[in-house]
Amino acid sequence: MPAQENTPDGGPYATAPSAHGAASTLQGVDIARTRAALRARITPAWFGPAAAAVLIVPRAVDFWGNGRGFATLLSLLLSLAGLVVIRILIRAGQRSSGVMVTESWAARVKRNRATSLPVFAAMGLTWLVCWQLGADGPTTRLAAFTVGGLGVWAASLWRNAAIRQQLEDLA
Amino acid sequence: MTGDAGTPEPREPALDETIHHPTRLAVAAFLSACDEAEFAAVRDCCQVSDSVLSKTASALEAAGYVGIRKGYVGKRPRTWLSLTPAGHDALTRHLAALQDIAAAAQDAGARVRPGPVP
Repeated sequence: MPAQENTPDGGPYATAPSAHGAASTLQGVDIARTRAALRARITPAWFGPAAAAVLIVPRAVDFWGNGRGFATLLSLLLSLAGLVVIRILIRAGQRSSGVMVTESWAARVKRNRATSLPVFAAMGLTWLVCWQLGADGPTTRLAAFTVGGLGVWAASLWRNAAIRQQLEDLA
Repeated sequence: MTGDAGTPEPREPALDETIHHPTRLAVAAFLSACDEAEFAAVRDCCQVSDSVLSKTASALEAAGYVGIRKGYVGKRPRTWLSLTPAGHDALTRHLAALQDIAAAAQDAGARVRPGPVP
């Protein structure tokens, strides 16, 4: 815990900074920056289920309509709306974490590849299994996106747990 | 600020009295890693009390190093803190000065280390 603002102790280098004080202060700065970066990555509890719904609902509508024109159009519109909703969810998630960090999509994708690659792989595998079993298009899409949605939810839970553990380790 | 040749003047490492205190430095360092942070998030991560953070933020704001924005999330009031460009600059120079001190001490230690006894 850093020295409090109203205490006379100025910390490890109260008068003239010593080499030891400087080194420990630099270490403290690194820890503070790491905490900020980790805190910014925490997603709220509702993020996982909401993202899963955004992925699954359009495919469920498509399945319910059984590939009919109206249902297909509605599922496409819902998919487009889902992209906007995901963007809003990400922004709202950042805001609720209390720390805002501007990050490019490329950087975000790179950072999340450890969790997103298995989800994509599971979706692809589901798609392949459904195709092998002779399922029709809407069923295949619903199954793959259901796996994807649940995967995103699970990944969100896993990532939050890992971040909380790292924050505890830093404390 | 520019030099005579119209090129930017190099910013030399310099200890800054305003962010010299560990609490102020911790807050500035935390804010340097993000665009904006909510008061409670800074308080929790820097492990200080509300009053201490309030005092620290006011001091840094008075120096022009921190921007304070008040807003609402729903009906709840929220305070957001951010490091200004001047704050980023001061922090960079302060950390560079600390690195110089640590490096100089390391070099001096390496020079005075006794060699193997024959």
